[in-house]
Amino acid sequence: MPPVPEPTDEALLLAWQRGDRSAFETLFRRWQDPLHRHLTRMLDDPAAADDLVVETFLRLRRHVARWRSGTPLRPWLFTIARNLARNRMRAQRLWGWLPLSAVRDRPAPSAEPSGPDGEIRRHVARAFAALPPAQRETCSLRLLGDLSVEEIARVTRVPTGTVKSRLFHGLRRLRAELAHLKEG
Amino acid sequence: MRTLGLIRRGTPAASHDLWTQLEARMHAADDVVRVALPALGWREAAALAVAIGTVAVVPDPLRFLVASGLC
Repeated sequence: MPPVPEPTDEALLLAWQRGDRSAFETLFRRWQDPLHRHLTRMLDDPAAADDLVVETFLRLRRHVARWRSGTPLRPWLFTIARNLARNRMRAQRLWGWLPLSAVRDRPAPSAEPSGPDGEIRRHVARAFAALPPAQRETCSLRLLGDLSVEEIARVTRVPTGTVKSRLFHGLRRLRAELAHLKEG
Repeated sequence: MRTLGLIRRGTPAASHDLWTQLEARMHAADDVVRVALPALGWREAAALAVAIGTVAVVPDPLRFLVASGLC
């Protein structure tokens, strides 16, 4: 007997709109990790990424009436996350001007694992942080969010040619930055 | 190890299940009563303008309303 294919995101959203509450949970569990990884790279702060993953799905729930059946869900989901991340970064820049907030709101150092995993995390974080913001976002959406070039173009509102160019240059820099780890 | 494998290994997923956090936030959001004002049409806008105009123009709005039998 052939395996039963997984329901698509759009089918899950439709099922949820028709009253199947478990469909929303399935959708959340399917996307929480890719969204979390992507937001971690965008904000360089895993705790903030936790908040924004939850907030993304709250927004999706609040505005689900705007979704038109037949349009892909994935770009919409990542667009919501993108807007939230941009708002967060804008607020951080604004608050950063106040000397007291800089001391009070500084994130606590995260518990990084020691050993080879910790070293890989530090190098990957540094490699992404060294990229120009547009390349960082494009590479993160492709490598961690699993979005196609067309989906990335829709999320970032640029032509597919621009996405391909950003990917090409971003990946080249990431490979160069991480080359010593691959050899080790 | 390939670059993609390294990047995924170096970017951990959430350290705990976020579903419980989302559920709690959804319950909290359901408890909030949202007051939505109906969209203003021309009739409502005209009525509002008359009300504001009356208050602004009439020297003693309360006496005026009582005299008109509206209050």
